[in-house]
Amino acid sequence: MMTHDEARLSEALHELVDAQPFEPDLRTIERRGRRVRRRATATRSVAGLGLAAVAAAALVVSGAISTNSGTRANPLTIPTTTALHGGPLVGLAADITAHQLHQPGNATLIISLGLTRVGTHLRYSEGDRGAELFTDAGTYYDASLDPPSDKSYTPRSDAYYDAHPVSLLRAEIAAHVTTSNAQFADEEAAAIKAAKGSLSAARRQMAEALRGVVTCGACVLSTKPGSFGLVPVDAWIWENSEQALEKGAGNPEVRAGVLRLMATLPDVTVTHTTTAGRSTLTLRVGRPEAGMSHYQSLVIDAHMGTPVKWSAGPGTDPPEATVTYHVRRVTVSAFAAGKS
Amino acid sequence: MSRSEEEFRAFVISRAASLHRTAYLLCGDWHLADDLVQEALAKAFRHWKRVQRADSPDAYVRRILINESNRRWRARRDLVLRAEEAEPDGVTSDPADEVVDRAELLEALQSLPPRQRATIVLRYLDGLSERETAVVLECSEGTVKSQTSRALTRLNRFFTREELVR
Repeated sequence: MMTHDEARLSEALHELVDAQPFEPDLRTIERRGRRVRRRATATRSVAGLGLAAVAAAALVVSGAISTNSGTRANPLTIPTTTALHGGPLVGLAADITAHQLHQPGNATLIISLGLTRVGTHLRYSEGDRGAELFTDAGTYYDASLDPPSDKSYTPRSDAYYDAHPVSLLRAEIAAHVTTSNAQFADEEAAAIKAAKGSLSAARRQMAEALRGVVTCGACVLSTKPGSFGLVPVDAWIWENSEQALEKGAGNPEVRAGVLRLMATLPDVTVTHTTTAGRSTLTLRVGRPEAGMSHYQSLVIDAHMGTPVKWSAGPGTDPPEATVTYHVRRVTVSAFAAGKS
Repeated sequence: MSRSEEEFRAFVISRAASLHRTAYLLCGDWHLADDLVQEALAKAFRHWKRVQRADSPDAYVRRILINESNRRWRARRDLVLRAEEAEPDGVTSDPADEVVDRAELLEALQSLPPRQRATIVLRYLDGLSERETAVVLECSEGTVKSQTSRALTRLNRFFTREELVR
């Protein structure tokens, strides 16, 4: 039973909020939900790009940090400082387009494993495990597993981590339990547009792909550095392009477009690396020298452009969080039957 | 669409407006409230099977919302010069009518520590009992009582007026 004062407070609070309508955007919510996997893995080390970028753009003290991109009058335009000609990303995109490095099979299987560092020790807890299958016909199956509670990571074979989500994925295929892939359509469309040459339009489309986050109109034109020292638009392009590369790993046109888009980001560094004996390119954002204490990096196959590993951290190794990807082409029927 | 997705959508449609109102009183800004609700529901979507297994899915999602609000509140507190923060969205000072009191009440609510603010919102906006509030906040009923008492003391000036938020 409320007291008189409590009843008056309750009435006042209701009056504060009752007039505001709200229609949930289910599509955006589900899109964000599918992104939570990787973001949750990195939450402890890196604030989410979405609101963080908006908040930082709106709230970071003006002029505190300068970046290459800070001098751009309109962040939606392609910066003049980018390596659009002759850079390794554009070169790889051209190779992918020219040779259409399309492996056999009729679907792309992506298995991912997230690891999150525990405390200050070199120990990791197992994060989400995912197994996703994107068929060339447009069907999407998603078998993702929540991280087991308090389970520490100890090195095991890939087969161990593949086993459970892959079994679940096969069961979903057998039962025709599909998941809507529409939530990635904007990113894929932007990447394909970039692959065909319309980079300015593609940049805008990729930046706006997650509309639910881009709620602050003024931030679109902000040149104040936000996440990782990137201006907000570049941060959105970075995050959404990563997403497109992951979800469109089986589509050479998407991979080529994503690489071209990432080549427009002036603060992304690209280095030739070797990962587990494989020739790779490492893309990195975050500039500790500019006061940005966090970074993200994305390792891609140097010949195919497919994702190999994503990591985030405070700027010193080892990273706080990683997601390792195993991408391979399969034939749906053979995979479902356990033959590949 | 799978049955699980259908059930999630039904949950969102039935609960989103209420969560939105809660979010607004937690953060004081309708745009941020939009984002808070989306984020909370996105996380609920991600862990939907776990949410469904909970004794109270509604309490589970409210807990996600409050945790997300607290996380952002802490981040904002660390990053922002509070003096630069905009006035709470949709509530402007107007000496001609009751809006002044609403703005003051919202400001007072925002000045409460996060747990006291969450307690007040759950108890007096969402109408949860002390026991239900304790479940959402994962604390004892005694803590809910003490947090409520402290918050009411700080908000006391709004009860003592002849006309309250009218």
